[in-house]
Amino acid sequence: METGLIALGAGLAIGITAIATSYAQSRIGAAGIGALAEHPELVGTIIILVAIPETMVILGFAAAAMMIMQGGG
Amino acid sequence: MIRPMTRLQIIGLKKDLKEIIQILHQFGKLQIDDLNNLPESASIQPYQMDESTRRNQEDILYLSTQLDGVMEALKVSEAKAHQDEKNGCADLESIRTLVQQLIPQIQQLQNRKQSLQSELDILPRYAETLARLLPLVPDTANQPGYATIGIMLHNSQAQQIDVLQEKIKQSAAANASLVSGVMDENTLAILVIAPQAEIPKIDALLGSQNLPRLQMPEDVSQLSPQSALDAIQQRLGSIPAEIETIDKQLAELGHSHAGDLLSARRYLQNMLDEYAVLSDLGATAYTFILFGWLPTDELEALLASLKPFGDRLDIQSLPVDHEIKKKMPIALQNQNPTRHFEGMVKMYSSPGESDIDPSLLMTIFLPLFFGMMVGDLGYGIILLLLSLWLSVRLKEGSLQDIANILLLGSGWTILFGILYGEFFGTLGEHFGMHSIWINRFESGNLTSLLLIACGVGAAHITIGLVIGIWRAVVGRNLTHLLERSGMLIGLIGLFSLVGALTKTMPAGMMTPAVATIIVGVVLLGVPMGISGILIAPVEFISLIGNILSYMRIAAIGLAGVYLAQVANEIGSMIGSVVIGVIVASLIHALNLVMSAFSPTIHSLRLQYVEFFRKFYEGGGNPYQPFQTRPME
Repeated sequence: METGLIALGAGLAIGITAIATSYAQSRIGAAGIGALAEHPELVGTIIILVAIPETMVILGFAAAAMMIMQGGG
Repeated sequence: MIRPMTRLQIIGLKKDLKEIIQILHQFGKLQIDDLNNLPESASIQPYQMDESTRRNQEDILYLSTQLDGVMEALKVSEAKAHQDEKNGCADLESIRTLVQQLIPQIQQLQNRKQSLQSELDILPRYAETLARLLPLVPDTANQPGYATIGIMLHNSQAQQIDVLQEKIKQSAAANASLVSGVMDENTLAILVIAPQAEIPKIDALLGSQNLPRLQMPEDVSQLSPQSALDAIQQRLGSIPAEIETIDKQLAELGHSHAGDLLSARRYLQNMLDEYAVLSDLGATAYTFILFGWLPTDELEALLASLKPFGDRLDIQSLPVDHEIKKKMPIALQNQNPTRHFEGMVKMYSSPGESDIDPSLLMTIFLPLFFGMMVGDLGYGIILLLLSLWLSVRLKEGSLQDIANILLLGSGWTILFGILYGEFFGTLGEHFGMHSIWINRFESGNLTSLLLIACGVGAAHITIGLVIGIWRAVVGRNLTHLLERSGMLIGLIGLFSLVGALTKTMPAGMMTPAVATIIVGVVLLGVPMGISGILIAPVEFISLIGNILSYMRIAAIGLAGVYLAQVANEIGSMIGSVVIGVIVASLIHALNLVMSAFSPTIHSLRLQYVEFFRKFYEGGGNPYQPFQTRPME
């Protein structure tokens, strides 16, 4: 039971942050493509902006890893 | 490295101006400032072109526009010209002759093509009309000596057909016959068939009645409906080949003149650049004044190239005050391999006047983080071979820079592959390969991997903050000094606190560590004033977030590791060895593509977002010397 709850918690930690990241990236990506059409020189900035929300899912991954490790893996 | 720049003022006689501008253009190192954007504009009149110079400029502009039109019509582009063709036209008269010679040929071919295309558009409509009417046409229409006139009417005028037939028979041709058919929901077509001799009279009658006639192409207008339809269909079949022939002729014309046209365009663009720069100058009645920036190490060469003008030219180095320094262009100069990273720096922002050139730091850390993420001997070897091939094949440009960056990254990938003991994931284990440092396949090592990534992040950010403090001291910027010192002191306190909590440092360090954090946060908040009470703790937490962000080094690396493991396991599960190897290779290829792309983006992001923001201002003016245009 406890192992199941830990697994569920870890899954939620990475799943919810992944959804949040993908939502943010979809919005930034769509706006970025629009900006690129007018200013192709912004490509570098836009790639970085798209990559910024990935911190969320990486922190989610870290939290999930911690839960699994603390729970005895 | 940022090249030291010297601000120059050049004063000379107007009669020498054209020659001096040509020399400076060929010299190609001086960036000429627009007088209108300089403080000197208050006391110096801008240079005004005389009438003959202006007329010459307009002539060249007109010729350049004609040349662009010719190149567009002939589809001549740089890519189509071979290296050995880039010569030829390099004087105004031969360019003019070439353009005058090509324009009539192009116009003739284009007019012919346009006329064929109109035929191609319009003939199907005639064919359709004739095809619909053909079943109604009496046999007499196909007899020799008979001709046909078509009339188009609106459906609502259908009752006029009988009246019309009566009128034609009474006043024009007694033995004419009429047939009609519905073309579409609005249009009714009528064919009048009569002996050819009667046709002009019928035509005149229809004209007097204002009836719209179906205009057939001239060459089929005298034919019977069936013959006209056959002729149109035959014509439709032959037009595409004729258009193709014209296109070929245009392409051959373009191919045979590509070298001449490209060199002509470059010549004209360079001439126009020389005219355009005149508007940046200042002038008195007999002299011109020019302000610009030159890399200091090029000054001797500039003086030597302008030596023939002797005393007629005055060249002065000007002092650079704080306001002018903001306008100073930033020229980067680095050796291999650092020069390949200059584009990556500029992609973020050109260094500002108070910045250091971060290209060297990028050269160290970008490939290092890439290698830490991918960390596989097999992938590293493939990336190394690929980047070597690309860097040899591509002589210059941003793709060559990327190939060289990948080359360094692949070196680190091989090194970390050996340290992690990975060769196409777990495949190396079958050949006795073991990890020297840390095995990423063991789930028990996950915490260690995350901690190592955070440790790398803490070190990277600390380096950024130390550089930031140094730049703040050099630039005497108290705000930046307090902010960056506060962050660094807070971080030291945080490291001590973590050490005390994990018992790697004495427990007595707890209180001093907390006190250090508080001192750091206070210093961070001081430049923000009263709002610092709220913002400084948030900034400090964001700094911790920056360090945690480096966990992506471990996380993205693990994603690749697991995909490589999946490739090997799926390959081994398939009964046939050949199919197993093919399947595993395909998944490894996918992983390799992802490994080349994703770690680059994330490594770049760590430089830009986490690292650069600790010391780098950017926003500098890129160095744009007045130089002749190279072949694109």
